[in-house]
Amino acid sequence: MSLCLEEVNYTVDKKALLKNINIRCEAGALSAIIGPNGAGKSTALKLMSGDLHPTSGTTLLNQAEISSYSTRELALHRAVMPQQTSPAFGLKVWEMVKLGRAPFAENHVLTLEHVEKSLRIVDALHLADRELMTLSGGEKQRILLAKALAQVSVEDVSVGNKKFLLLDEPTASLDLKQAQTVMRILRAAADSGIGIVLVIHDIASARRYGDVVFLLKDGGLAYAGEPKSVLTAEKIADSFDVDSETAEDSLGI
Amino acid sequence: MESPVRTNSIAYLSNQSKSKRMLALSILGGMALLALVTSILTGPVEIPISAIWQGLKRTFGADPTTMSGSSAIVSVIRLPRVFLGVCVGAALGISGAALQGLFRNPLVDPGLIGVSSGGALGASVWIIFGSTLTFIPEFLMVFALPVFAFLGSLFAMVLVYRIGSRRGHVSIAAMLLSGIAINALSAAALGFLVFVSNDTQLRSINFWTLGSLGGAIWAKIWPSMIVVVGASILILRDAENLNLFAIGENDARHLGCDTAKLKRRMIVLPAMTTAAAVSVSGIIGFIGLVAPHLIRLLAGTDHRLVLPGSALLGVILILTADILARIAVSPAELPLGIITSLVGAPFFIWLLVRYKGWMP
Repeated sequence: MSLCLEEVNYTVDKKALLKNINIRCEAGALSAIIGPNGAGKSTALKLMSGDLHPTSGTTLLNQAEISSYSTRELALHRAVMPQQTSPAFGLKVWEMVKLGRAPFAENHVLTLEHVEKSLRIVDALHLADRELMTLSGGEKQRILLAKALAQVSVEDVSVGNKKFLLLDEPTASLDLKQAQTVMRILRAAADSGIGIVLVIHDIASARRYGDVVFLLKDGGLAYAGEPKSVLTAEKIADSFDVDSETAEDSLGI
Repeated sequence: MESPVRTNSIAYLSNQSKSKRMLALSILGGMALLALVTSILTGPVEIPISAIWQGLKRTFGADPTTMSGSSAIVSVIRLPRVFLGVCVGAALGISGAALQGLFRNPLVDPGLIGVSSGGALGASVWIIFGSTLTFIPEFLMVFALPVFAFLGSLFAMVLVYRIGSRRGHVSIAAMLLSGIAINALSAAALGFLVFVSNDTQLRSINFWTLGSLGGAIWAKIWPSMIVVVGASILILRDAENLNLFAIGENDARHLGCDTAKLKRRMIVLPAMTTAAAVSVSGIIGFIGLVAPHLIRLLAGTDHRLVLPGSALLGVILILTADILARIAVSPAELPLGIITSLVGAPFFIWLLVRYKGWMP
């Protein structure tokens, strides 16, 4: 079970943002997409979430073309964690997480169990009754993660272990400890069978928690494979266009 | 480790919020009923409560032999007025709530997408040029004004929608701006009509743009009521989708909501509802803005509460304003629009001041 970009080109106004990309993310693995600004990381993620459609090539979710899914079917199979949130009207934390179960036609009691479980995973059950916008940045990020986890819960037997969670720099605005917490939760989620796909700038975290790394450069796939083989000083120095010392440091070894 | 929240907490919170929702809706329902009865009993002729029941029976076709004078007043004058009030209040309230959900902005009003000004223009066109349209049969003449107003509302709304969207993709900002433009155009055209009108026509236009529940007759109310009830039911079915939409358009889509279709429904249905109501009553401002906002302030932001709650509160507000309009300068009657604007505008200013901080 996988989420793949096959021979994908994506062009906007004659500018090629992605060139002949092949990315294959497996369920149960943590795939990290890495690369300098403007390399096409977020575009790749938007293609994989079904927000954008490739100019040529295909996006496959569990072997079926992603455009063949209805909006709701897609929501049963993949979640996208937004980088931030600004609800139009006030919202309690538990109400926010509950929205993660919106795609599922299920018993109300079951929904609430999912909400509680997800909040427990991100260690935020004590925040359940708080107004969302009164939380700190790190807390809000954890709530968004809980909502996404509620959506991709592996307990939905009808869908089984075929769900994917897509995240665009989930740790970018977090302090060291919060970032570590989020990465550990994602690692555990991958181990439980969910496919995690994340765009991340923190190379050391990608190396430590990732199963597979895709290194993008100028809209093309420069390197792909296991973190230890892809995230080396030479390859970092090459794709990020930095000197070898800076590349060494970024690995955090 | 002891958590400060009990283990069954989410179920508890959910139950609590549901009871609160039901309580709020029950209170609003009770208040609406009270306003309804008070409105029927208010007027130059004293009416015993028992006459309400007889008036209802008479209106809905039972036993015309037991009629007293007061039940005739109820049936012919008071009930149509109250039913029109229910229709208009519910329409404005639920439309305001739906549009605020769509635009993700608590300061939106049905007037904003051209519905009111288009309706005023349509009505004025009939008032000025109606007498020249001699091909319209006599028995349809009573419907002519509301039909013209309805067509004007729909036309303005469709224009706003077409300008504000491209290939079915609705841009919220473009929609708001095109609403402003169409409103300005309608105002200019209306100004021209006022300029060419004679004294009697001017008085009619003026009366219509200020809104009133007076002079309501059953023949005009039924068609309007059918549209309002039908469209409101369809709007209520989207309550959960509007909850998703409130956290952001992309987020809503990622959670399985077909946002393109939702946006289309949430423009067309509120516009139809409002058009159907104001085509009979004339323009009544601020109810659609104030009702949803008060509900959110007092009871919560879940659209399963805000949509029906705003409809009920719209009814309460409009019937109360109508009672005031009738007793303030009795035996004359103030136009209803004056009262709603007199109370609504300061409330709107208060909202602006309160939310200045987060407005772009």
